[in-house]
Amino acid sequence: MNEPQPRASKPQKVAAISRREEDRAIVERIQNGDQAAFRELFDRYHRRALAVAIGVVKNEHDARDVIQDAFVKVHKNIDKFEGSSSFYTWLYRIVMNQCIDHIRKGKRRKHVDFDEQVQREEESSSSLGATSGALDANPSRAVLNRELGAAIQDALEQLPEHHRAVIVLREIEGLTYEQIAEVLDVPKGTIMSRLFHARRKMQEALGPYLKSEEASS
Amino acid sequence: MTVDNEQLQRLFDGELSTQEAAEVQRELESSPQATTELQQLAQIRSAMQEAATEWASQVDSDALFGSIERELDRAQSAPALKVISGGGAKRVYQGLGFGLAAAAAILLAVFTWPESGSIRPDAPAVAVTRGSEVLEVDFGTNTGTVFEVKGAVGQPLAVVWIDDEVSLR
Repeated sequence: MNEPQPRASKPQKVAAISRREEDRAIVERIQNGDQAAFRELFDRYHRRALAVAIGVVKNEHDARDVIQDAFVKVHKNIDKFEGSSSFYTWLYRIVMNQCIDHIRKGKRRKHVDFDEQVQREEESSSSLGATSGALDANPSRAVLNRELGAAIQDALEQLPEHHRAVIVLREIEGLTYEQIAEVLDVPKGTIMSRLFHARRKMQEALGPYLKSEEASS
Repeated sequence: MTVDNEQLQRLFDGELSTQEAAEVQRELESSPQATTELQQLAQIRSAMQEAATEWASQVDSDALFGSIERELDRAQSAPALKVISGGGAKRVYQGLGFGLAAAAAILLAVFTWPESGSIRPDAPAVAVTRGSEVLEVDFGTNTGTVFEVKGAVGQPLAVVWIDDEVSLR
């Protein structure tokens, strides 16, 4: 069980500053024409950005498109990045704009090629195996976690996009209210309000699973 | 003092000062309902993080980076958006909503997208000043439309509307 988080401790702040400085150094290398540095930046952030995008666009394949487009934009605009904000705040702003564009343009794929579908099914079954294996010690918990994971996706799908964006940035990416406000370009108070309502809806949608987990622990 | 929703949320998110957090923690001891609420929030956070870890683990990083590189190569090798200055000739251009040259339009390089309504920082740059006569807009790998609009004092302006989606694919 996660405990409430205290405000960022000194080591956490030091780590955040260090990450920011490392990012800045990598960005400068890209600005100076070092293409390997772009891959380095991609490796640092693409998985986290992808998880955020999946949470918002609700579809792994669309999320890959979003991340592809976002990093293309990062590359094209890296010379304009002056470092007044942290790189990851800038990146998430681009990712969220791409997500919102994607949703509004209704770019969700209508057709999935047969081969692609087979591949997805194989990936899905292999990941199930890995999860089950890791949780063999408690099969009922494994099943419950899997159900909760699926229910999380369903619950996220029910949220309006502005609620989904906030809760994903907070719970998955761990951004502070201030950082989320910067990424989404809305006031901090609005972020708190959206987060509250998003959580309420998630609690309502996930109620049965939350009770079950309580009972089983 | 009772624990209200805002305090609970800020406690959970680590947005309270040490002193504030200690006060709310003390209040929690006599508020089982708030404690349950906190536990549920933690369960949701934990489940979302687990789900996100699984989502992220399935990506083929090399393939994704390869597709980004291909897009960048394509964008670099393709002709960029450009405006060819000139005037006098009447031409109708593919994708244009009207005969641009017919109006000998003053080109205002305004680039926007239908849904966002805001100017993007990565809009292709076109070095055209007000007063230029425009013969042709070459969209390069982009697609788009040129609209004729009236400015604040009724002056004719042309807005070049770039389709962002197509330009990146």
